[in-house]
Amino acid sequence: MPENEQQSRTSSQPATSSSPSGSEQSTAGSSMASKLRGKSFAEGEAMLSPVQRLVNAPPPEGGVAADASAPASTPAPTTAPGATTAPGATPAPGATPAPAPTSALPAPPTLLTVTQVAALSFVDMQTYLATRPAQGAVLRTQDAFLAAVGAFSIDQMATIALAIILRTPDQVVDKVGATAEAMRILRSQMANKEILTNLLKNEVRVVIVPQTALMTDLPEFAAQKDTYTFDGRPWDTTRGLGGQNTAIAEENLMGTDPDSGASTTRLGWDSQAAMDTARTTDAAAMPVAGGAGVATFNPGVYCSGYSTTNHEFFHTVHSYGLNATDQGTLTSEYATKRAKASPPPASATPAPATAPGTTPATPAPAPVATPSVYDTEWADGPRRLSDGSPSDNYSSTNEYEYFAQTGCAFQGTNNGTDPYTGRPRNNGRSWVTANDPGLASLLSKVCSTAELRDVNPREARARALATPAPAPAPAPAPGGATPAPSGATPAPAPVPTPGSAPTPTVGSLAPAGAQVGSGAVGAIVGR
Amino acid sequence: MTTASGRSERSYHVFMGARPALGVVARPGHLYSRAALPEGMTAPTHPFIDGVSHDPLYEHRLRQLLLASSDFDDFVRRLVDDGFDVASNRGESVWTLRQEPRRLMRSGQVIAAMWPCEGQLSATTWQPEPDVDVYPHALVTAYVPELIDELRSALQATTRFDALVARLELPL
Repeated sequence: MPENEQQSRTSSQPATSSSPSGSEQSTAGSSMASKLRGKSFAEGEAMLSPVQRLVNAPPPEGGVAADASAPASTPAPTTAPGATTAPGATPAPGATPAPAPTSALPAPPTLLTVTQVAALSFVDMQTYLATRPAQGAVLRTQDAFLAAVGAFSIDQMATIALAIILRTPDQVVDKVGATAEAMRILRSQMANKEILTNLLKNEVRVVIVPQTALMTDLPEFAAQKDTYTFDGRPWDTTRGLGGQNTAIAEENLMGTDPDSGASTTRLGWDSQAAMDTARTTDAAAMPVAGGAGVATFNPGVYCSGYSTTNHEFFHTVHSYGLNATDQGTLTSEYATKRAKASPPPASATPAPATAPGTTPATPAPAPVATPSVYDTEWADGPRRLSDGSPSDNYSSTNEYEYFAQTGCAFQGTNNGTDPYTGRPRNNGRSWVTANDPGLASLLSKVCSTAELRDVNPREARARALATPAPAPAPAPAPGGATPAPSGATPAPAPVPTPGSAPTPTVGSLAPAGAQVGSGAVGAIVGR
Repeated sequence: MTTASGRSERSYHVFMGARPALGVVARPGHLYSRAALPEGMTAPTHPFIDGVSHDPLYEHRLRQLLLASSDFDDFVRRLVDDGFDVASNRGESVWTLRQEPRRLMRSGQVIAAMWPCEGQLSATTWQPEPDVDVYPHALVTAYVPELIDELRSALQATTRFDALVARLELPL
């Protein structure tokens, strides 16, 4: 069956058709689709009728889709029959409708049908989605679109997926830098077409939380404003979330601090007992400044080299990207790991007693170490406190954190110390491969081939701020002579940016010692 | 009623419609949110459940129900009354069970939930060992524990989900 016929059929499936007339429109558009496939925009434009060229024109700011069947000079604020409707084009209830364009103005362009979009080349599709971001929300569930995107290379498919999935709100301080860094990290977890297809179909979104705003200030999370997490924290001050709507924090992308002022700080109960006590007399009691059991929550920061973006998106991939088989594999890998007993490390085995100053004629046999589930190494170390008593670590608490933390280790972004045990985390792809081969196999499917570098570069930023850069080379004097150093105060070094994309300095910057966070969360630690 | 033996630590998947909402085990444990923990913070303990949230949308509601509950059975009862459904957890990934359950009603009361997939017959107050009472065509949870034998008989007498539904939804 020709490819275009296949697309036509899949796009007409009722379950995913964007409109009642979608199948008719898709079928009608298939011949044009076949003509357009593989053509550049310019080549395709030359093949189009004047109306179709109008359709292809970029929309005006806040533009409204036009009727493709109407004459070009006729104002037509409605969407073309069968075309996908951009949610953003629908005015909010109660909003004043935009005045209809007068005949003196060119008609606003319409949106392409699913089939027409599916027929675009990679570059043209990228351009098209950039000018009509709202349509991505509709296209992503359409089989014809997914089939077309799935025919691109994995890098191209990831680019299209990111254009649809990732949103950078206007409040983000460094929009260019944060977006580039988010794309760098997310792309490293987009190495599989099936996973990408599932993420698109499952309507996953990733939103960058501005360092000057609360997560719940964003529309994707507004429903959680003034509510609590399952473990009793205010949703407002959380700085990361993996789910269908995934939140990643600007400060963690850029290695900066969130605003520590009123915009990102909230009062909360410092323990469940405090909340319970307060609500024995008033079931709706909320924390007030100075109240008993009330603490100030602030976002805190994560240590240099630890990427919450990487971590949260592993949660997203787990729930909405992996197929059922891989989800089952992950569950069983976690159960197996929990049950696996390992001998304690050699350093934890007591040496045989020897009298001071004497050398035993025959070395005594080393005591047999008893394997224990608490000595098995996880991404966040063994399940023991530093005094040897049993504990969990973050990666062993449940299968979500097992996947996300081991994934971060696989990506080389698991720097730091485990909050449960106080032990250093394990990090690096070689460690995961040696200690968690089953999960390493699954992670190889998810991730690109190289580890990530320079995520959350807090220390590098702090060092760069503290170290004056050498004075810029003076301009050569006329005649080629090199002028003597002027002795002027050197200019500050440029602040490094995650990855390699240069970006301007943003936000408040912390000294190197400020990044380790137990103090950042104050009274809520270890409750 | 053949419910003499059962798991010492009951374990359930909790759904809202087809969406996984919570994983819960009847033992003292921790509460795990989908929200990122700030650096240095650990999950809080809880005296009678070990719970893992699957969906941030329901966390506040689940917390309210938990705060109002006196013990595990009370919590599960409140979950069902609030529109959640519970399914026996036999160690499978909850993400492989994303299907809307069929709620069985009698006299205006929800008495059971049934999923059209392989699964276990259990009750909100009792759960067999993971490999016992497993049926290829349905996963069934009795919200009225006294009905467990009737549900088992229906499961044993049928091989298809639609037949099970038809049998159980016959007017009494």
